[in-house]
Amino acid sequence: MSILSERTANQNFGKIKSIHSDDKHSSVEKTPKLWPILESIFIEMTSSDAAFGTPIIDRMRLLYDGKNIPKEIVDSTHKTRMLCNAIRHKGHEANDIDYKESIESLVKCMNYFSGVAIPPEVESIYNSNIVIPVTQPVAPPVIKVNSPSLLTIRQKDLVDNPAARLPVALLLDTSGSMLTDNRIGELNKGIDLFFNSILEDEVTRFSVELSIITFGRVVTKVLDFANIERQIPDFQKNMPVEVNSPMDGTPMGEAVELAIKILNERKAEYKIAGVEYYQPWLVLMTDGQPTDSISNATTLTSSMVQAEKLSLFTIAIGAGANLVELSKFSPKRPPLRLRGLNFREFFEWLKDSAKSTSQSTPGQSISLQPIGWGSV
Amino acid sequence: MNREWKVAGTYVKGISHERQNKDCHDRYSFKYLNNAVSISLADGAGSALKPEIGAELATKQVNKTVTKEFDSLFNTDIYSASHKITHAIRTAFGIYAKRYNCKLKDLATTLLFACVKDNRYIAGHIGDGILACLQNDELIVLSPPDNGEFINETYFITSNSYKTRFRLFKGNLDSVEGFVLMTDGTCESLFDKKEKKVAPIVLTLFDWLDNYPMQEVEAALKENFENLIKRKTTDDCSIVMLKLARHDLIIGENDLSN
Repeated sequence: MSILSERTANQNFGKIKSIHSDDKHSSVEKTPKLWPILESIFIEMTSSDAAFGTPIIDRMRLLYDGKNIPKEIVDSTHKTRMLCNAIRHKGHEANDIDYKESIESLVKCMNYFSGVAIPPEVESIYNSNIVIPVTQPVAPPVIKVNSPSLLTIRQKDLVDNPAARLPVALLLDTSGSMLTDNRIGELNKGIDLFFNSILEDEVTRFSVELSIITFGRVVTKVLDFANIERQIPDFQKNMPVEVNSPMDGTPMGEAVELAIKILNERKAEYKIAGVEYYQPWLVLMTDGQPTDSISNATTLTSSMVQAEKLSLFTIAIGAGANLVELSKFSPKRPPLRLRGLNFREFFEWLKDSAKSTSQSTPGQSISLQPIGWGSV
Repeated sequence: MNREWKVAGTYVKGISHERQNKDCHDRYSFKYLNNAVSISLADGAGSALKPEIGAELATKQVNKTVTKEFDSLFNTDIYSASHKITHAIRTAFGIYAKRYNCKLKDLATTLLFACVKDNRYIAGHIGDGILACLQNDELIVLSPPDNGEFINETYFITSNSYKTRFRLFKGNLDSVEGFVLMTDGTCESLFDKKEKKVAPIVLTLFDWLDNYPMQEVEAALKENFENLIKRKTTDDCSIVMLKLARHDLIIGENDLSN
């Protein structure tokens, strides 16, 4: 299989040799330098199928999913990607084993996809059975007095501040009408996609915190705010969300009040822990109209939206959703009606918007992604 | 006896601006005039049209004002001194905006500065980033980041609330031997947000200034910021330090004239 050019493979083998021969830096410092190589390989191999800016995880999936690629290649390159992300975004320090395994994964991947043989001097980095004859004496390094190279800050000298969080509360209608056209099934598929794409993305994995509240027969907190990786067991245990009975109502007001309560509790926890955060998001999805009083809830959300303390998205599913009632929750952003059961596109949009918000800096205006999944 | 001071700083473009092929919005500057030395640092707002121009204008103008008028600023009350400084910067912005047909908010920027003369200092801050001093070998935060509730909210010299958000500090140096200014990108690596403490490595950076020529420290800061500090954030990163010289590597008027 040769979908990686010989030129790129040879260039990258050269880069790895150059990184490895740098005696001034340790494995800890050299490992992050492998990330651009990983990026360049997967960008080239998916250049005809993936749009500019597509994350590496998605490019890997594009290349691997449903194809007969050796498991060793798939697993080891995913591991290297995750290691590089942990180094770049969480201040993780790689050790010598990480460094050598990462090189091994990259060169084997390049060898597999380009057919270019692994140079022995590269293979010798991770394979101690390969011995490279010394062809010329190596000059001792020149040590300069007062050289700026002595003035070095190390990774361990840096403060490890936690990533700023973006709390996102999903409020999902599980009333009886959600059984129509299997809306609930499609909604679950969309949430599953959303959860996994948040988890896989190198930015959102550390920034987005999800909470899921359902409102049907009763209001239930399905998932409480936490780091997404820690939520995996609860997500697997409590999903998919279900409709208990076709007769179940839509206690929307109670659900919104609960969401605001747990949002406030989470913000208080952030403050105590010294964690910075973005303006929280509340996403309300329904196919009907409230069966309880929404007066308190709308007063709460309206004042928070007006004071720029909350971003609220109300999403109407199907023709039966009451847009007039939904519009009471937000004085700024009108309800949006989902086109058909286009949950997949909606949740992709939501993830992309969460990602761009998570990367915004002070004073930067946040422009959400264009909406292709619904209409005002 | 005149004190002798050393200065070093750097700014580097963040990963986000590299990807978008945009300029770095951070700037630093320093000035030596009338026996006063001033350092300043600014982070232009991402939402502004000309953030790097705003940062450049603010850093240059504040140094010009505080070195030129140090004595009168020091001797007047905090409110009047704050007004004089912010007025000078906003006037410079106004002149630029008129000449180049843009709005004041197009130049929105945060600002930090510290100026020393004899045994006295004046320092100021608006927005995020931190202003700290070196006293008895300890790093003391004079002014922590001023964000809104949310991380992506802060205040600029062009904000309507600039009068209440601008913080000014004056005093005698006594045991204060240095100042360090950092923008929010650098704070990700060198400021513990929970404990509100500057990372101890900054003491080492001050040692560099004691033991190496300023140009070498600048080069080392640039290299370290490019290779390490900016990897912890997507934002631009910058720093500037002012240190009372302990050894023979000292600055003169010719060194500090930008």
